[in-house]
Amino acid sequence: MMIFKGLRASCRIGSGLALTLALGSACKAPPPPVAATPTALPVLEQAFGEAFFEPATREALLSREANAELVLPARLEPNRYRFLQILEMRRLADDQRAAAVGVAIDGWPLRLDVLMARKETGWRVASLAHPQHQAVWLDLLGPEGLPTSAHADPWRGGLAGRDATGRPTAAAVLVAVDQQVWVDGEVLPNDEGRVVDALRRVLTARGALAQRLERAWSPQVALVVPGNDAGSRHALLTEWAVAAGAEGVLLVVRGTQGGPATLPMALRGPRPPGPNPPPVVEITREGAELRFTLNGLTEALPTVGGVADEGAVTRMVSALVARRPSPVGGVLNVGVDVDHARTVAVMDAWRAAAPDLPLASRP
Amino acid sequence: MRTPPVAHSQTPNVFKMLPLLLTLAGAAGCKAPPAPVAAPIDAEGVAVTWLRDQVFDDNTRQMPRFVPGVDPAAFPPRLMVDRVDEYQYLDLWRLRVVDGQVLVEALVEIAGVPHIQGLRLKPHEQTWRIAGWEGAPRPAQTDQASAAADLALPDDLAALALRGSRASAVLPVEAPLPEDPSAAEPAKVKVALTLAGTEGDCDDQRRLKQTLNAATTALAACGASISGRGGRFTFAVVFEGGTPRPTAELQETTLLDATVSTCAKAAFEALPTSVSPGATCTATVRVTLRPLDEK
Repeated sequence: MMIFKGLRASCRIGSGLALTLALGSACKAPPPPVAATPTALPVLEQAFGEAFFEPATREALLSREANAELVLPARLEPNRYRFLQILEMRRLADDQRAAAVGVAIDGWPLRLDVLMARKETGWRVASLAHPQHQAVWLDLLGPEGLPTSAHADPWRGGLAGRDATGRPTAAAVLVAVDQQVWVDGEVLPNDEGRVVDALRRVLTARGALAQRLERAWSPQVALVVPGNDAGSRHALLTEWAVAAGAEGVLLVVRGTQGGPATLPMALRGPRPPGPNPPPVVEITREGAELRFTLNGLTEALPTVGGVADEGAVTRMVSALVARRPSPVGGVLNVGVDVDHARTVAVMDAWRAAAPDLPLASRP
Repeated sequence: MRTPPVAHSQTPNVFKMLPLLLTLAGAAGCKAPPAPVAAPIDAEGVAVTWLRDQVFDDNTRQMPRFVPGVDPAAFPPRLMVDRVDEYQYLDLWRLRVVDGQVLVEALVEIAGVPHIQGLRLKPHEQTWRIAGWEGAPRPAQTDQASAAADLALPDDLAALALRGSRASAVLPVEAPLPEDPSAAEPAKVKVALTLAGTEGDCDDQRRLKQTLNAATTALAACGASISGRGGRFTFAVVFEGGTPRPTAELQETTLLDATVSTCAKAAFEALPTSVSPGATCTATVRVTLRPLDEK
């Protein structure tokens, strides 16, 4: 019960102080409107909204430390940035709050975690909880970041498991960049047990919600992997997602306009017993070739620097799909030798040729 | 420890004082203050002011603060106290903005016990108005950082959040089930396969049943791991003349383990076709799996 101590007094002081400030400054240049309020929400909304690219106003709303930590305004053109809403603000103490701010870069909903503190002058953003995350988001959304797919489905999700309106997305979002992993925006070490546990928690919570509302819902995980990561990383993360109970997996990519998009991933299951398993296209990389095997027959496409001509891949898949017996899907065997962007290029070409034919990957 | 609520009504409130401030500024010879920058009305301020000072106001004063149809007198803490001073607003506990609505959780004291009460605000006629609340306050807890808490949304917002999830297709490409030592053992389940209906060119039903029965062994292997009372699923198996294998779509199942129905789907899709070129036959097949040791 210690946390409740002093609550009443601080509320009254806050209100009285705001009144004094407003009167005292009536004839000077008007302070930002939010300075006259005893509440934290308008401070956050203004700091990450209209004041974001205005250093003078912003500096009044952020501490010196937070101003130094906030690098996005200096590294972004204003037309790439949009303030969405305050995702959450929690009470830590009488004079401290933790907040998650929803912003979008290039149409991708993101979250910035900040700490708020109440001083004599009112609420201010005291610090950023994870200032280094800004660089990660900028890299992911930069030219060497997330791979692009022209044939992916548009997606309303973002990198923190929320859409632009602040609603959780149906799919839990797993972001993996180097040794850092985020599950629905919560940062975790790149450890299978920790990640699987976190995924299981967020999937279970969604499942309970679906059950309460009597809504159809499938446990689904959206994977975010930068293009320069190993081609096998997403396949490994798929296995973690399945271990956590996922029955559906999406691969998050940039769509044609650069915004959020997804490629549906198929999963791998056991072959049924019997002499004639359903035909599946096996795609492998052998040296400088991309090989397609169906019903025992293999055809190869040349690659340059690991990249096969996308049109040639599309034509190859179209030809394989037209064969009898026709394949029920494909498996892309991915390794660490080729990066994720080149792997996605093959998936994109497959989708162009056979949008409804499932494609799984195998690490 | 306790402060009579009357003290709150004496607390200066900047919202109430705003006209006075503007008048004072004008009287001091200042220029008219610039229009507030996008002057958003402070939703937190609206919520806090109401929770702290206005909960027990009479209905006439309350109505402009509420969206039509919400009854201020039904606010749960109001119904839980005998005297006004048994209710006390303590602090904001949590605030979220979802789909343009503000979800506030307030720390309040009811008859001396701290509780958390949810309140919902919606924009209405260019201001924030109270649009509803959680059905009952809950005991205050410090442990609130949970996935369930993040997803604790009003039903209408939560329902929208769940849209669009789909299970992935499962490709039968891994080691076949008979290689699994447990699957190589004699079947531990009894499989009952019934043709529940047909549609299209399914004239030769005897041949169709023969074809479907060929999946029985594979289906028994699929169900090797099930326990308890077993379960049932129904598939629509579509045979198209000219294609070597049918497609199977799960229509319903009582089995929670999706791997069983995925395996069964693959078992049906491994069957040969049973119709002539140009013909299409859809068979509705009901499969019941029952462990043999069931009493």
